[in-house]
Amino acid sequence: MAKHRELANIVFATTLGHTSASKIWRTVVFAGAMLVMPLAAGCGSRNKPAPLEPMPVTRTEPAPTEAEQDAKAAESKAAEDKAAAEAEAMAEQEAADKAAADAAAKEIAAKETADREAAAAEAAKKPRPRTTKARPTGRGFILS
Amino acid sequence: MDVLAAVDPQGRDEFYEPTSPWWLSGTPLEAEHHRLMRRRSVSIPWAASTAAALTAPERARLAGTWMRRSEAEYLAVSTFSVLALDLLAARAPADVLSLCLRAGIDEIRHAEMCVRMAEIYSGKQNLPPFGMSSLPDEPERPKLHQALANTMLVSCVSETYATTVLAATLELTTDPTAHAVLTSIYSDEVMHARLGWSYLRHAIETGDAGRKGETVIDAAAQMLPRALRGVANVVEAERPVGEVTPAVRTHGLMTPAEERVIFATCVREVLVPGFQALGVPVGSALDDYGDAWASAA
Ligand SMILES: [Fe+2]
Ligand SMILES: [Fe+2]
Repeated sequence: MAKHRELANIVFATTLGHTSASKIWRTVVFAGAMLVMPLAAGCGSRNKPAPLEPMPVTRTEPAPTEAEQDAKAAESKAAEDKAAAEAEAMAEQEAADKAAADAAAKEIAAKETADREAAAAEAAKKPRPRTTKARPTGRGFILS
Repeated sequence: MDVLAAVDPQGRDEFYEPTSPWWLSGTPLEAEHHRLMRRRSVSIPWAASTAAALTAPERARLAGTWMRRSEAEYLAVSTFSVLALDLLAARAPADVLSLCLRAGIDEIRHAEMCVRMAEIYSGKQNLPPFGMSSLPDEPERPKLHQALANTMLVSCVSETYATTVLAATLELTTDPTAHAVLTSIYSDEVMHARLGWSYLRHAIETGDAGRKGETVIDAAAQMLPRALRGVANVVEAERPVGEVTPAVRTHGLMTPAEERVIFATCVREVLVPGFQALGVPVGSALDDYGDAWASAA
């Protein structure tokens, strides 16, 4: 196995590395730096539902008769009364909910302020991504 | 002469499928993300992987390396983000800015592909390890010089080296999935590397007008040894445990010894001639990364 690897290294050093290098010279450096010209010349699928799009709705129905119109009027009056009662109940509920939400928001805001202060104190200890202190870390494609 | 004729980094993968859905947000943004991610040069035949024919230690070795690759690709996302700020500060031309910002998106695609490869070998759906770029920031320097120096580090040196490694690795890779992933990454890295060489030329030609003191060439020459050392640090780093068997090699992996040879070859045949052609002094680069360094593994 060791012999196999040694041989591979030699083959690589003499052929593959060179072939790649000359290819990169042509495709990257020569082309990128325009060396053909003189320099002075200037120059989830986690089973989530797909996003919904609104569909255009078009319907055609026959015109209603007079009796049907009366029945509909009575129906809509009852519906209006019911809706008014429901709206009143909802308003009361909303007021109660708002009071509870205000109290919760106050609590959350206090917690967020504490978290922000803790995070800021933590960040102050570490160098930020833009820093003069870290030495440059180059990168390339990790080979092995 | 269009030397990049064979490379289409703006291709469209007609057979695209979500690459690492476990890394996504679960919101409608995913649909647009997929539109961005399918813009790649080749289709990836995920189901064609021959990983099942490997031994458990071989699969573990490959999983370890692909996770490290995902870490490096993830880090490159923030690297290009920070570089974009430097280029903006230096009032770089619009094409330089758009290419730099697109490179960040490409690196997200690469990181996704790498964690998917790691999953193929390990069966585990991991996220790339967290990392943030630490490009040098020297506020007292002219903004152009900082932008140029960091472009050299990120693009001219690191990305050019990456393309050399990828080109060499591709020649040994026979597993169809690994081959397609490496080809896809390679086609993007070629553009990431060209970005640097183009900007370097542009900065040399236009940058010193009306400026006194340190020149663009001075700034480039100063950065070169630091940039080379930065990549050498990566080449010299520890490797995951496990033997690089012949079967492992066909899945796109070589030995640290070979990687040293590639870097030394890249310095000698690509980087040094490139900087010299642009008039940037290369100092002791050839001696620093010559045969002695290459065979020191
Ligand atoms: Fe990349
Ligand atoms: Fe890249």
